[in-house]
Amino acid sequence: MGGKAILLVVISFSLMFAIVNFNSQNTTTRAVENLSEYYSKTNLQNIATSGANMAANIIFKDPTWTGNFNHLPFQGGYLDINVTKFAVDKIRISSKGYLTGIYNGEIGEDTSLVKLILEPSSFSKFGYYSNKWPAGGYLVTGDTIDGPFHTQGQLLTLGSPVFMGKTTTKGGITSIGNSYGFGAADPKFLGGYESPVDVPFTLNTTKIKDAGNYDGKIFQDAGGNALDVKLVFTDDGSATGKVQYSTRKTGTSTWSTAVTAKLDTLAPNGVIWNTKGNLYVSGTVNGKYTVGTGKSGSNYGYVYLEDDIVYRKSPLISDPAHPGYTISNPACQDMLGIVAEKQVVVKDNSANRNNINIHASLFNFDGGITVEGITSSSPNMGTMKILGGLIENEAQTTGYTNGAGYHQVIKFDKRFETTTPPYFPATETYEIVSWFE
Amino acid sequence: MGFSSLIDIIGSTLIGGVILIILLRMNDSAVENHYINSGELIVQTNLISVVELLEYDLRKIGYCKNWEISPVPGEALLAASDTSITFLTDVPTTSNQFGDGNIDTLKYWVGSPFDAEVINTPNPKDRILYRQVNGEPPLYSNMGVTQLKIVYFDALGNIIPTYTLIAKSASKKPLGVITMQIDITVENIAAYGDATEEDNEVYSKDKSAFWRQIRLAAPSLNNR
Repeated sequence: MGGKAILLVVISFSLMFAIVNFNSQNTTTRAVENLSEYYSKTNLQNIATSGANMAANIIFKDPTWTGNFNHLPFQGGYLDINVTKFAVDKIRISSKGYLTGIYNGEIGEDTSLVKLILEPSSFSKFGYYSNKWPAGGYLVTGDTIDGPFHTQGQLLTLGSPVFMGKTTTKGGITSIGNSYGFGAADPKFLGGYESPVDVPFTLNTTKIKDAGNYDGKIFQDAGGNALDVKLVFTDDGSATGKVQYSTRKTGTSTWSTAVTAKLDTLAPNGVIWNTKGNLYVSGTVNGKYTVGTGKSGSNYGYVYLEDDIVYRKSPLISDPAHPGYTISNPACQDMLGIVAEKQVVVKDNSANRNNINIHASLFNFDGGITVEGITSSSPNMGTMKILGGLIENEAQTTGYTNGAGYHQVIKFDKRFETTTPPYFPATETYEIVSWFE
Repeated sequence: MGFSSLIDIIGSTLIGGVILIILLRMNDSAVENHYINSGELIVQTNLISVVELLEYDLRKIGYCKNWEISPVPGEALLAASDTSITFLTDVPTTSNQFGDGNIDTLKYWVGSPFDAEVINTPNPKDRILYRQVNGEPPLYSNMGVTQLKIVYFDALGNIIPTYTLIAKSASKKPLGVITMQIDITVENIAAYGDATEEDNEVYSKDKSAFWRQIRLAAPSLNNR
């Protein structure tokens, strides 16, 4: 009897410990599974993200590419990458990763999706673009660059200038500090900094000319001579407004009789282009337009600002939430792009000698905005206030530290982040505008 | 009953008692081990749940299905401290994983170990991780989080001091954050046994679990 009892006790305890051991092992297994599942999911996410980056990279190099990858082996899993064009010029990349791993406690296959949207990049998205960065041209403590910034050269900073938007350079950056009282080298890139990024400075005048021919207004001398065109925008209270235009042969002094035209009939698509010569612009813009002029050889292609060129309402207003900062004015629906195949020049005249207001994105393909005849002996002309953006080949002088010329203030019109003046020059490359993962 | 029988009984009782003590001790050890293993599993599960949730949301900082509503990704981070983060995103809906195309404000923060929700839990260090979408009541669950620490880096990889971030948040200036480092520690909220002096920094006998994401970059925070 005693032996049987002992046997029962031993069996009972063995059973009990077997159950405890099983539970213990089971717990350990689940703990490992738990970590394995996280590992699998992380890998899966990485596979899908990598696929999206691969496809985006191909499109950056070849914007015409629309290929797909099906079951592309990658990092132990595989990828389906689908590239589709939609809405004329947008591209959607869908990258779906597949990986066999442990999910919900079982070995199986799971998927992860990353979706991107790319759009053509316009030069108007830059608050400031400079193709060439001048040697010794430092941005210093106290300088603030509003909006996205890019230079194809090497950016030079001294102290702690502030870049409000995303900053990119092709040539990198040299930051120095503790010189001339400018403090430590500590540039502030509030929208990020990336280098090397190549955004070649290009201007395809054929595109803008074609747009002008198609549904805009082209000024062109029948004999092939250079032509000066004067545009004075006027607000007539309508949605598109009017423009008063006159012409003359470049080099002569007599303007033709001014013609006033409604802009919705003169240039329904918003493009006004002078194929060869110079353009003189001023007035109040209502509607969305791109105006500009081409050059021939190294001559012409200048856009002269004869007076203020402004929208009906300022594109920027003070942000009531934090004084000193500006936000887009929702009441402003007007937009202007000024394209000079040479450069934009502020005329030295009586109208401009007491400040000038410019509401536009200014594209200077062969120079930068400057002031007619400016020297260090020029009079003080007040403030040049640009609300829009400045794109230029190389910075030019608009003022001197002794007060000659203008004190320049450039504020980025944030609407240009998502919209552009019609047919404004594009970088001819795509950029990622939306990333879902 | 003779003397030898008495010896037998006493001997049997002693041996039986020793065996019983051994068995009870083994049982106690088995139970303790089982609880500790279970505790580790709970800690791991909680940690991974917290991490997956955070990663899922933080990757979408600045994202919006209708991207034109959110054209300046650098301004998507509204407020940041080492224990909280508030940002703009498009929270997925049950009907659309890509969001509804409207900007939402999402806030994560950890409470104090002395909050009413955790003051009565056995672990004196656990705290609540809150998740709040727009102005809705915050959602939370006690997952045993004892540390949430976020370190922010600018575009050049320099750490941005927390006081700078808080000052900028207060004046609604762009924070300049490009990448983040996130540290999370999770402990068992009601573990087997008590903290000992050796375990001064860790409440339970169960190991605490620590997770670090170095340089989490939300693609939409810096993509244009």
